[in-house]
Amino acid sequence: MIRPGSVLWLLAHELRLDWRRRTAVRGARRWVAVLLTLGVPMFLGLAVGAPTALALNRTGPPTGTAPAVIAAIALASAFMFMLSQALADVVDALYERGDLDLFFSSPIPPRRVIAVRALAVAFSAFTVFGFFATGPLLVMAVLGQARWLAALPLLYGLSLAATGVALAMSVGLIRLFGPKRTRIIGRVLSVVLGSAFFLATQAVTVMTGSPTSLWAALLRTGQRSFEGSMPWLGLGLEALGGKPIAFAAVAGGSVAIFLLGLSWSGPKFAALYAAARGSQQTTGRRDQAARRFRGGALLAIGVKEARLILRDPMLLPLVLLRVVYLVPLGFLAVRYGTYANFTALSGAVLALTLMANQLSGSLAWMTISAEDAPDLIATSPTPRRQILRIKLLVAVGIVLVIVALAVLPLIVIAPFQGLVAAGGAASAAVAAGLLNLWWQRPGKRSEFRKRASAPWFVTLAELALGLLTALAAGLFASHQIAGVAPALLALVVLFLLRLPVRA
Amino acid sequence: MSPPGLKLTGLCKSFGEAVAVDDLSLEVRPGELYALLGPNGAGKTTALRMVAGLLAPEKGAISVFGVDALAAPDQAKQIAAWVPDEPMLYDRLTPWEYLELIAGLWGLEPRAAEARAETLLRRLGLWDQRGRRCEGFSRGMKQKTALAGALIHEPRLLLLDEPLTGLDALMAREVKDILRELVAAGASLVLTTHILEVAERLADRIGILYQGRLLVEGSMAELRRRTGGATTLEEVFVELTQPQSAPQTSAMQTS
Repeated sequence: MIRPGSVLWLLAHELRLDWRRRTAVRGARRWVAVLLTLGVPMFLGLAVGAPTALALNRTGPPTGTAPAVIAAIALASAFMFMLSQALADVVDALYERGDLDLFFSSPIPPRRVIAVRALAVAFSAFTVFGFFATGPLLVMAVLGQARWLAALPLLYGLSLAATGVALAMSVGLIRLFGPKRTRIIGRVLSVVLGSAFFLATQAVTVMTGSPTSLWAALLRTGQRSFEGSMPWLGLGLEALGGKPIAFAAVAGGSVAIFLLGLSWSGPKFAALYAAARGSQQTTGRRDQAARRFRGGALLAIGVKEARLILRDPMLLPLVLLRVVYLVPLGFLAVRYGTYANFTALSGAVLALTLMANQLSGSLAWMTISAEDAPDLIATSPTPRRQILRIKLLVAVGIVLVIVALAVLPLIVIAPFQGLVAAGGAASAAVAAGLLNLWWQRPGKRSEFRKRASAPWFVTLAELALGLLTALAAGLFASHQIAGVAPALLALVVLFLLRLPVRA
Repeated sequence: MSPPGLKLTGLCKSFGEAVAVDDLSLEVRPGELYALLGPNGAGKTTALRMVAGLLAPEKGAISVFGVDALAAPDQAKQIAAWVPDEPMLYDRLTPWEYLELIAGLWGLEPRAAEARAETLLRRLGLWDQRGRRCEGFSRGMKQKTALAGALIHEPRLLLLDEPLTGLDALMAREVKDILRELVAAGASLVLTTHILEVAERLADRIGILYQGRLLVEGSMAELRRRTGGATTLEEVFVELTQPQSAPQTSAMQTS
């Protein structure tokens, strides 16, 4: 029997909530979810785990500089991704999760509550890696490579370290910028951290003109360091392979970072939580007073949606997340456009189209599914179909304005590619918007990060539509008629998923 | 003869096995305030949500000032307003912007709507807050903003679910005055409340729902007569909704 109020008891509570959130889907979708949850690890086990184990049985454990450096880079990238996820979760905990009010008002020591919440954040950051790694590692264990199972606790250890750092960062951010600004800054920082590796690769690619240069540079530097002053870079591979001393060093170091972060930020967290919550309870920001009313339902809805989107603190990180991936491509466009190498510009066209799709999907979800007062809209005499149409128009319109900032310079540099980018981005934005209109996924704006609770095939279709449209635009931009094929395929996907909108 | 402000006939609604509203029939006349009471889970909110067009009944008919609300929902919505216990607001809009949205949704002429918005905001003590976003508002201020939104198009049928929640005594009194004025102007009001004193003082007639069925309805005097010795609405309510007494009252109603 677990003692109420103990760490285990609190942990069980967190895990129960997490489990219920993950298994909230019902009916046929639930079976699909179960099938995927079991099927993907099994598939990866057979497709990746089995051949790897057989190869290792034949060759013995990997040795030498290259595998050691690759493992170190992989672990560092995983850590950055976990840090990004953990920072976003900690910011969520500070600003969104109301249940901390209940715990902090109970006689349970706040330190214990925070420790358990931190363990849950770490578990959440570990989930993706655990999901994809468990299958292959289990198959490898069955085929005689059980030592690699050490990777699982090692990865959880890394996510603990990431959580410790994220806790300390959030405390530091609040001290530096105050509780009001930290909400946005924390999210932006989380996006930047998550894409840091990609940005670095792109920056080096742009500087050197070689797509593999960062890898090559990293490997070269890693190898030199490993053979020179940093032989400990090899610890990662040895720890993954279950060598006791290396494993103890990496896992122990990770846990130590977690405990350090927790012991430094834990005592401050409850006070900062109160400050963060307090910053939400302001008297409300003052906007323009008593502007003249504009007539008409459609204009009223349009203005309301635009206001809500532009005032949403989530918008900046959301746009940034997409734009961050475009910056290097923008450099590419300028670099190659100048030399009239228009084929290279097709990459930029492709990226712009994909960004328009992703951004439109997000904004259309915000306007259509994340309506704050659905009952108000439903009780108004304006037909629902008209309201939905205008919401879609606002979402797509905002995307087009953002995309135009990149497309207009492109049109100046390369008119044909610029026009293709404009067409591709507009089509991709409309397609994602329509999908969100047909397959509405009700939720709260504050739950934006978790909007993936949609039917899996719709999420997949949204991505597929984006990729197909982007591919078509990229091919057209390179003067290749083959772009017709993905464009037609995108239309077929859209046609298959269309649903009548309830009037 | 003018049609009733609200007429429900044989309204039924279930959620799976649970019957929420069972063969509910009632009439609210123009210029009448009708209080719908009942214990938690009696079906009050479900009944009001069906009238507001938010839930489809399985059986029955709803008429709003002679308009068939199931056949012509947009016409019925044009003359009705719904104020739920959780205000339907946008945190990032100001009260002024919120009223602009409602005026647009109900197709009001902008200049007339502005004048009405100003009157309502001043009356509800929100004029100085008209440019502040609702995110920092107290529950009472949110409730008042929602009420202003419900009143801006001068509805003929007003459905209020716990309208006085979160209001201080002075503002509750102001809201009660506004409701009385609406009724005096010929509107029909249906309100649910757990503050029985409010129902007792405000309502022309009171209906008590129990397990989805209308147990009894009438003026306060009629209810007192029917329950024998009860003097206050609280005594009437307790006597009628206590599990052991409910079957007797059902029989009383049918007799």
